[in-house]
Amino acid sequence: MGVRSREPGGHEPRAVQKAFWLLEAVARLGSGATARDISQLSGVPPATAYRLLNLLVSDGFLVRTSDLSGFALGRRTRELAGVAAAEEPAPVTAGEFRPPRALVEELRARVRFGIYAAAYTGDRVRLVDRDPDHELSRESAILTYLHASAVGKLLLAQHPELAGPRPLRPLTVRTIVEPDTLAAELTEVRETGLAREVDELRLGRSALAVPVRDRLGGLVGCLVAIGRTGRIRIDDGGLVELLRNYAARAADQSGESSTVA
Amino acid sequence: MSALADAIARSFTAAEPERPAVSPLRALGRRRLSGPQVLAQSVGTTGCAASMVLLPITLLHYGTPLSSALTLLGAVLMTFLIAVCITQFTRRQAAAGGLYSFVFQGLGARAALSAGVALLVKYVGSATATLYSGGQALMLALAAVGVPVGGVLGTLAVYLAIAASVLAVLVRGARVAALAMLAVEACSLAFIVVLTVLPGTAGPPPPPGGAPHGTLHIALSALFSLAGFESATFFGPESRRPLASVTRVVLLTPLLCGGLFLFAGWAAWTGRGASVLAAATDGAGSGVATPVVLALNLGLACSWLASATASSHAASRLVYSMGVERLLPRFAAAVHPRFRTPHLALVVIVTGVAVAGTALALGLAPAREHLVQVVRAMVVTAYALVAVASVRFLCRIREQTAPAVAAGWAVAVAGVGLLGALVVVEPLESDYPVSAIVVALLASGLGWWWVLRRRRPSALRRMGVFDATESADVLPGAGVFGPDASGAVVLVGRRAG
Repeated sequence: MGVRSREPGGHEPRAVQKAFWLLEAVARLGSGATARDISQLSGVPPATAYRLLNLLVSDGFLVRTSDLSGFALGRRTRELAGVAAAEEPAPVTAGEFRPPRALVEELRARVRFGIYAAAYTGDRVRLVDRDPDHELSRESAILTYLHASAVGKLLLAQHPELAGPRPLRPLTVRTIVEPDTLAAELTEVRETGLAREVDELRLGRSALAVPVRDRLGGLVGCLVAIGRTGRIRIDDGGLVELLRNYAARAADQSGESSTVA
Repeated sequence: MSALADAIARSFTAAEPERPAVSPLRALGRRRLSGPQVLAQSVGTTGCAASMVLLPITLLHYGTPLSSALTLLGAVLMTFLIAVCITQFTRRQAAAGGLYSFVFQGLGARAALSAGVALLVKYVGSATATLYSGGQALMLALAAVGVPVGGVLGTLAVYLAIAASVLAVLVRGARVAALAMLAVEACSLAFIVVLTVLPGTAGPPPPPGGAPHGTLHIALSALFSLAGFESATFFGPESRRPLASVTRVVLLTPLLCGGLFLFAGWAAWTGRGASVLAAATDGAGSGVATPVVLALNLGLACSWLASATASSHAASRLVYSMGVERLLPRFAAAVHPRFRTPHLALVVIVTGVAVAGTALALGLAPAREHLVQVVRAMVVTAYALVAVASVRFLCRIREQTAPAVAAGWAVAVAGVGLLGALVVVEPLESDYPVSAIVVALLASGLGWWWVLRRRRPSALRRMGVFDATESADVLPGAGVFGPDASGAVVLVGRRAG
């Protein structure tokens, strides 16, 4: 996270500080601010500013307007807020599950669906690895309406009390809102170790999630394949087997990688 | 609260736009190629393993050890300056049209169409020439193992097989193609480097050549051996971190290949490359052991065929880009539903290249040298245009810096001078109307522009497509969206319009 590129180099220890000044200047000037205006407002010399702006664009913290002359804030700036929040008291995220990136990339190369990884900490779900090739709309709904998504159902199967206030909210006509039906579904999730979602969160989208468990068998996260309904077959034995295989490897390797990080 | 924190906080409540802005190049398999795979595309196009064998022949003929080293360094520096001009664009946009799209950003539609024609001829021409040479080397290698392939039918069969495999690899996907090129180019580099440093093959250091106009000949050969280093620019939309990785590859490739050329030059002047060079010039008749001839021909065939593959690959993305802009018929913009490659554009390009390459092999077309001359003029045209465009572009977006502007003008002046030399001076030594063809090709870009302006002005408004910012990339509430000249929703600045 942050400005990853090596180009500013160790000889320029203030590069990160300057990058923040530039982001702040873009936020103040608003959409379409030119590099020259940003450089003037932030007080960063033009040549340095242009180089850092290009790096910020290549990492998604800034975006260029369609005529390439102006800048606007990119969606990734939200991660800066995430960093700030994580550095505040909540130490919960310290041991959060995060699969090794190479492993997830390897899995992505083998399937045609979007592959995401989510972490469960306490009663919270967080997406920790997003598929760059597949756009995921209504991402926040996945995390809010646990009863409607495969990712949420895995958590509910472990902690049914998190199902939220009744009545359950229907997000599409196929969302499970009957408490009994949901209970039966969660039982099946517990028995099969597999959660499915068909058109329940969003019409036309299906998902298949498998849990990742730590050495003591506790639920720490999941790997989920998300695709168009009909294209992704939720009873596809091969896909389930593949996801389970990678979930097991993620469980083995995430412990090592988190100690390194 | 800072403006940044405020914008982030607001973004969680901001509404998403009703008609989101999406990239016009969405259909391609975006964000798939890793850095090494993009590098494979560029290094593959230059075919540097084959140049490591051919360039020393020029060095020995025209130069002395010192002059050839200095001239090689000069050519690498010049290419690096061109790369600097190109990276002014690659740092800021990812376009499937490569240099053609970049010229549009700086100089507008008319110059872009000229650049488009030049690039199309360059890449299709290079692919044809290398496919032809690769096929010939393959047939020599087959002959060395005792499978003589000859006659019209044999030649047809070899070229058909090559074209079919090239097409299959390219349609299968950019990632597969890049891996294939990487493997093939690595094999040929290994063959040629090992052959060069193999103990027991060294001869006495050769005497200085010193034919007239030596420096110019060496400089041009080195420069054109490095041409094609920019082909990674066509794969920006398909690479994972395009603005960073394509830029890096464009800057790195001339240095990497230049280093290999210097190594080959050193080997030639110290006599280490003697047997390889003898095998390359005189084949089996040189008295070199058959396994060396076989390995050399295999290495050359690999390098040339990788280059033909990479050039066709780049040309297909240019044609695709023009298809999206509707400058070419709509089928050019068709994308394979599963492999996400512009398969119809690939079929057209590879078929054309295969037919032309086979015609060369069967002696039905003018000699390869004339084709290479035309291709060289087109390369210089494209580089000169992109250099001028880089200066104009930086001034337009007000991000010009003194070094970037200086590099732009230096390349532009050198390019125009070189083009003049190629069009005016070369033909005095040639009996073929190469200059007339070059002038006609340069004029055809302008003619195309004139026709479009009269008949289909809407296509001109659609030009310059690149992997533009999507709504999903923008912090919600932090961008202003509006229609562009062709009516598509794009991210616009406050001050735009």
